Amino acid sequence: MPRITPKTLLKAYRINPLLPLLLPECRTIDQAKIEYKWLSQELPLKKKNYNNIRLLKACQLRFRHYPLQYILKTQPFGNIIINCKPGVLIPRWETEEWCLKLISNVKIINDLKVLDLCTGTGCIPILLAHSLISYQKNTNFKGQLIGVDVSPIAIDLAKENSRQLASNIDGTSLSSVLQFIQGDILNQNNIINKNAHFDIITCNPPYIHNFIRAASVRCYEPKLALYGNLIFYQNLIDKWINRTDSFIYEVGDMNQVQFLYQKLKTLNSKDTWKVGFAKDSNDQVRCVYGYKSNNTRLPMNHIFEKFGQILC
Amino acid sequence: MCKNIFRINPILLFKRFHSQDITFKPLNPSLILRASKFQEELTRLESLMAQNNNSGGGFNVEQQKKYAKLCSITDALKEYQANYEQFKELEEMVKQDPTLSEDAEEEIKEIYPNLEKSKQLLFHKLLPPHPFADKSCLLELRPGVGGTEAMIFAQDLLNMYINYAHHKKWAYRVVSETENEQGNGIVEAILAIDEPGSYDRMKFESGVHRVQRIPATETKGRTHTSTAAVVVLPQMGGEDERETDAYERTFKPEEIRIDVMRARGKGGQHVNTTDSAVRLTHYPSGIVVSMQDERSQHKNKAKAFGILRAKLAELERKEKEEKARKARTDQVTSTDRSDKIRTYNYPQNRITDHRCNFSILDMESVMNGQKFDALIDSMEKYDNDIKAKQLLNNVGQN
Repeated sequence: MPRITPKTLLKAYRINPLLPLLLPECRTIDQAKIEYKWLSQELPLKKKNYNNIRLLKACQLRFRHYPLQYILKTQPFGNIIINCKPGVLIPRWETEEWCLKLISNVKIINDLKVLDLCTGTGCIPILLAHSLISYQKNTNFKGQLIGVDVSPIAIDLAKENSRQLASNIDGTSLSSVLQFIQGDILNQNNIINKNAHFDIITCNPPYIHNFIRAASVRCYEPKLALYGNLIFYQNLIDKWINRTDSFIYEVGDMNQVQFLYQKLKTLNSKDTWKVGFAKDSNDQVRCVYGYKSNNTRLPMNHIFEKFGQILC
Repeated sequence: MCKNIFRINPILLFKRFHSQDITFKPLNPSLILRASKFQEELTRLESLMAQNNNSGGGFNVEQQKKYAKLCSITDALKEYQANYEQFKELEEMVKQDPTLSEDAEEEIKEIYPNLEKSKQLLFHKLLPPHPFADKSCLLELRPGVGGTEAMIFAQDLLNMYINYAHHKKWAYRVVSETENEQGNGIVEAILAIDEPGSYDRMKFESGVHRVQRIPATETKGRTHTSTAAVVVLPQMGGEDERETDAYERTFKPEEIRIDVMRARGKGGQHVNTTDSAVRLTHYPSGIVVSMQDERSQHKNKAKAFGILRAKLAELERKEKEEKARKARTDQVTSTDRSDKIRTYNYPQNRITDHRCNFSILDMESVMNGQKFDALIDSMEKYDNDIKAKQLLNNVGQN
């Protein structure tokens, strides 16, 4: 990454004295200006008088690579706004992208059962709930969406987010559709009812196994939600594969896709699994998905049509 | 002797000319035929609607709209015919009975303005309506030649349109705005006016606007000429979630390319970027739309699709118009020529529309939106006249 020249800093200073503080994170003056606009528009206000100081403080935090989403306390995710707070991973646009792609294929199903592991802010089940409920206005959505996370902070935030959603959607009993459970899926066995069977398991597990370069992530986001390699994919094979018809897991690189693919190939099971991977708009391998090719309640072939590339 | 001729009082000459020869050019018979066809259609529609009502068919919006339109045409036709009959009778009277001619002439003078008015009304009703007349609009502004001064002028124009929307109590929003580096002008801006029918009013704004003034950036007091370009687009459909989604699906994957402006790298959990810019490229037309104002990539994409949709609709309309013009043998002047349409001359406090040769000497009231209507009204009248000419030519050829 090229360094920011003093000339650029001076130029930014002449436009607005606070802009140089945003430059290390934004890199260009244009982006810094846009971010300054967001900060000045959306900064949660408390008292009228101290806004300038609050803006300065926010820019100073930004200078130290503190994430913008933690300052503004929100992040747009699809067409909803998710609350964020330190200690919980900020939803990424890549997750939003595959989530929206999934929603466009399942929005007509009114009894969908989804389990979201490592839910964090709860963004995936909440966006699913919002989209499905608002799409199926006349036929009440009767499915079940469950989010699980090990961190109590994350579960609190997810519950807060779902309460916010409930106030946006009136007349629907969201609590019967959407619930969040705190539990450690790696070590505990009885978090979810033993007999429950799901249509889709989604998961955005920690998948980084090397050094994180971006300071805003390295220094301020929870390590629990970031570092991990194959452990959660192994966990899928061990615990969840017999309890679902399909799965979507986010991945960081192709090795994780290959790992899961090899494991499923050698799995002793009566079902045959189709496994594929999907790339994001930035042309990076972003998620691995799989579905049973027969004996499923929903037409999985149709749901995962055009989702990505099937491995064979 | 020659001198004597010129000694005749010109005023008298004028008076005499006026008092005797009120000649009226009736509407082209083929136009009347056209109008009466609408009348026939109305009677047909009326019987159809009566049937529907009897069988409990309910309220049909399309039918009602058509009914209202036909009604207004036939009303105009009836009024024109009544006035014309009266006029003809009076003319006969003048010819046949010299004793009554004086009175008759007086009466002709009285009814003449009414007749002329009803003729114009019918004429304009018969003009084909603009395909996007009931749409709300998007205004896209860009500076032209003139550097910083052009950017400042583009900003002034944007403010003028915002003021006008305020004045008209129209809802508006600035969809995107990119300031220049000095922060005193704009490099690009898109203003959406969410008022159905605003496209019909604003459509004449498309084109190059020229400004003549001593710029704020000028140190030696010289007058500069700069330009800014305005493009008016119809808003096709709202930014409703489902509608934009459906619209997105009408494109084939190879037709459109969606780029997200991301730095190279692993992405995902590795980075936490706030850059949410989206760029759409539509290959068949070569249109590129970038949007970066919102924090949500999803919203930026929806907005970009909205603008792409408006641009494509406008392009299609222009192509149709071009085809129609080629089909005609005569060269008709058009209202959307791409050369300069209006001059804002600050030293003279004057705004001139070059298409209809209309000048207004009150810069301030126009720029704050109060007298902006005057400009549009004159342009509307001019446009109607041109369309009327075209219609007449068409009818003449048929």
